[in-house]
Amino acid sequence: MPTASIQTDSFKDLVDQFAFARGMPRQRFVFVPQPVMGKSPAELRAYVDGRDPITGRPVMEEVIEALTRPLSEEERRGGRSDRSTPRLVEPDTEEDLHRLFLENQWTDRLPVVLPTEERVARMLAATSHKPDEVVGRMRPTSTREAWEYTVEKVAVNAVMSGARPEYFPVILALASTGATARGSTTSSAAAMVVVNGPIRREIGMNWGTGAMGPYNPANATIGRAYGLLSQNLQGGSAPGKTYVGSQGNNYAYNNVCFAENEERSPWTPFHVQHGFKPEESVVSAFGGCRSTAFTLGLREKHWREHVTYLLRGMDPHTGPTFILDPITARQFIDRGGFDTKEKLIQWVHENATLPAGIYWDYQLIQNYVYPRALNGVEPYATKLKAADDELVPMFRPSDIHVVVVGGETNGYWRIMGCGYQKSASVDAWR
Amino acid sequence: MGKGEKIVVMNPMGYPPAIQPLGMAPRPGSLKGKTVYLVDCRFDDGDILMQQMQAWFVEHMPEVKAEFRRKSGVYTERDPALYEEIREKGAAAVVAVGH
Repeated sequence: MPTASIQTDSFKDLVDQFAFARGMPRQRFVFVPQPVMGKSPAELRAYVDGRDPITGRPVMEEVIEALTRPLSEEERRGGRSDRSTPRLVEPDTEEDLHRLFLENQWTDRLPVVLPTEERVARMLAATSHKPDEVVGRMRPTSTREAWEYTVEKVAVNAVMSGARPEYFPVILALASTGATARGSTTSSAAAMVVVNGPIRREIGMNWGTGAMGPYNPANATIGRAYGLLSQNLQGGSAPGKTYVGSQGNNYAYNNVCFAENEERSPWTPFHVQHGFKPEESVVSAFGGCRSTAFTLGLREKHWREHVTYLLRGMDPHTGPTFILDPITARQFIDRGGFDTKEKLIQWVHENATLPAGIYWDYQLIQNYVYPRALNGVEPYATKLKAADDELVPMFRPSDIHVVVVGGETNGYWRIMGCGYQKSASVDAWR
Repeated sequence: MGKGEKIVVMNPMGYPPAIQPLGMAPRPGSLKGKTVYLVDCRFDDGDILMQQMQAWFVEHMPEVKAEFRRKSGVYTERDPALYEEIREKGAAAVVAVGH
């Protein structure tokens, strides 16, 4: 079908790259100014009557031309184009290689450890899997092409991050999830990583004081490796092309990587909740990490209101993960009787509510939930029938998670708006 | 390592899939007497933009029937029923707004 595709001018590079990768490099695009969101009908009519910011030509002249101008020979052409990636980089000095890695956007703009064959070989010795074994595929968004990677390619990125070889099975397990830490969304989401099981002690991870901060080499470099392998193995995370986060996200430097404090938690560890045995070593990936709420403890009189007000301030489209210091975990049991994580999750589901009229008016809900509701997908379809002033739950129980971490210097805790993606066995990659 | 000494390092990029180039649909040459579907893909007020484009067609090209439709589902999802309608009844489509 002859089609003209309208995009906003901020995304010229991205649409060109996307069209190329999808096999239609000469797809006919017409651009209007950014943003469209929030503009009045009169302002958007001005876009229609106005000029394409990229070409300077009248928008409607381009639309009509896109739909009617006969195809060129190149536009008619089909076929197949193979691509690959070299195993080695052209030999050069250390200084020039650091410059090349930076210019190619292969780093997180911090200095990396150059991945010589010797360093990669030492990393590969930490797994029984062969270097040429395919680990998985990853993509910046669900609509982009998926790139494939091997054990060796993951090792290259692990070396770059400064990770020690003993961390490599955790990094491989993360890579095997296929869940990218460099998702390309205008919302600037980051990832979060939670490690469970004996591997935590084996490699000296931190689940106590400062666990979510820059105080432990395993926490720091596993999280960093996850980011580097994501951006490089999925085909890039280049602003304007394969990354469109409007503000960026500082969590992305290390992807909030920590180990759960299983020893001081009053509850079942996260990996056991998801079907693993306590003695198994597991890594769990979360995505969409953007919103964060935070407070100290639970007051006896108004803890319910304090918790629900925090939740009302969260992004209603992304489920909350409660990240609790062990002091606060025990307070939730003392205050509310939540002797299991599941009871706390159910309470959150029932009490994190908004008036339906306000819920449905969020732009994120309009973009991502409302269309599903119209299509009859539950529980959204039922929520759509609620009167404007009727309270509706913000989150499904399956979207709510609880993890315990911290050194009990005080009962601070936070709620991270982030979605659980997948857990993977670390043991499988030893 | 001496200054200026060259070393070999490994490439960190993954392996891209092959590209299957797709030929574009032939163009009709003129839209006179034909139907153009103006499709809102359901992202960030693109429906309002398409409605303004529909008004433009009414004013400037009344010989073209401009049909406004909102795609079903989230913007990343396909709408086979709508696409089938466009194939059967339309000569062309405008889709907005992407990012």
